[in-house]
Amino acid sequence: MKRTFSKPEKFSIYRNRVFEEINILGIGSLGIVAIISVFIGAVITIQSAFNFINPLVPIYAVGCAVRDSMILEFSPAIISLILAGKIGSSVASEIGTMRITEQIDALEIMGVNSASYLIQPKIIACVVFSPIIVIFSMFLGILGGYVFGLLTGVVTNYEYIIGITYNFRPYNVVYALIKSGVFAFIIASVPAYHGYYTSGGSLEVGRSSTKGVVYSSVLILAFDLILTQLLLA
Amino acid sequence: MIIGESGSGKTVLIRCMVGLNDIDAGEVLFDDRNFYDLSFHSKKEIRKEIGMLFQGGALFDSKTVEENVVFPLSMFTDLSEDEKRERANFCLQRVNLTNANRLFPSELSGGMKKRVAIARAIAVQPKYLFCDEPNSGLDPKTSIVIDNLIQEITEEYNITTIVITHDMNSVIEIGDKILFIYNGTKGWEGSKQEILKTDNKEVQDFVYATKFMKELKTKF
Repeated sequence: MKRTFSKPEKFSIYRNRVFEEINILGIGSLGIVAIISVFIGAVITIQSAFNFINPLVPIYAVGCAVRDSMILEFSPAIISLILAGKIGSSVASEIGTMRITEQIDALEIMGVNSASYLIQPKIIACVVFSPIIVIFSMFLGILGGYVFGLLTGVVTNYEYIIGITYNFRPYNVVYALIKSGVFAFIIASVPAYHGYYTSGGSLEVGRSSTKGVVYSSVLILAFDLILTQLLLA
Repeated sequence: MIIGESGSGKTVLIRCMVGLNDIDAGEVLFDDRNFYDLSFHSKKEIRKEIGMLFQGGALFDSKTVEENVVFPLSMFTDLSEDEKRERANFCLQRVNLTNANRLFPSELSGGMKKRVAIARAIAVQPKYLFCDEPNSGLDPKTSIVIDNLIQEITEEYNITTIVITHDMNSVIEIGDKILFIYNGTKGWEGSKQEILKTDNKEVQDFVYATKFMKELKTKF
């Protein structure tokens, strides 16, 4: 960790690396995040509408349910779990392959701090870009719920808008962004660690990739619980 | 030149020399500077004087040939983009590799990869060049081309080159001082003229392992 966050050899190269990683890890993930968020928003809308059968529960509660589900849990935590699979396996296998093909040794021989050069830009890119992904996911999830709610007729335009604005707490978004920052750090650092310490051949690269995804997923769930207790309780 | 059977410890030795493996005992001296006694910063400074040719080339997969050669220049020099490109092209021409600048390592043959790796190693004008089995996986003709290139560059840039190999053709072709490693220890040391005449049994078994070499021995 100390080596990873040591001073870069050349700031301009590291800055370019961060932009490259934002493009690969961040922008490259927007497609899958968009698809999942829209459909989950739609499913929450339909499920909520069919479960709110008590006449005392107003139908605009559907909008509240979609909004709070997306903001509090789905966009920060579930999207992070999905990204742990996508980004985590990519990071671990990329760095693991570099290790077994001696590319990391080549960096070290040149006098480059390989841990810092390879891992630091990935962590920075993930942490910096995670709020954008989370807000993007929240927006698309709520929009998906709105569109599919109207298309299926389970909720009206007026009721849904009332629902998503009713008793809205901006702090929930702050809570989601804090969580997503911590999860983004885990998503980049844990698989990078497993990739960096890969030894052997292609089989071990696969194992490192699996370990990276599993451990980062478990850590995300654990930190989800801890942060929820700390920030919301 | 460091020679020896597979598993005798040649690669471990060279990795210890360049600081990729830690040592249990002894010293690694670069112009009287003991590498393992130095601070992290000083080690990095020595590493900037080292070029290394890895067995598989160790080219960066995500970068083109030109970007691979430019990389150490970008990291450790303040040259402009044009100057870096000029230097990279010079190094690539020096290893007889033209018109490959935009290719990726996956598009190169084994011999071309080795040449790019040499070009990358000499880009920052190292004082020491370490080569880990530069001929592995190459045909005899390409092997000689790589051997000669290493020798020419060594003489041209006046650098100290240490080559690990188990290829006797290379030893005869470019060997100057030869160190034979046996079971992780120094088994023999001498010149290429001496190695053909030595009485050391392990060295004899190694040098004359092939039928061809045995026949040569009986003829001369």
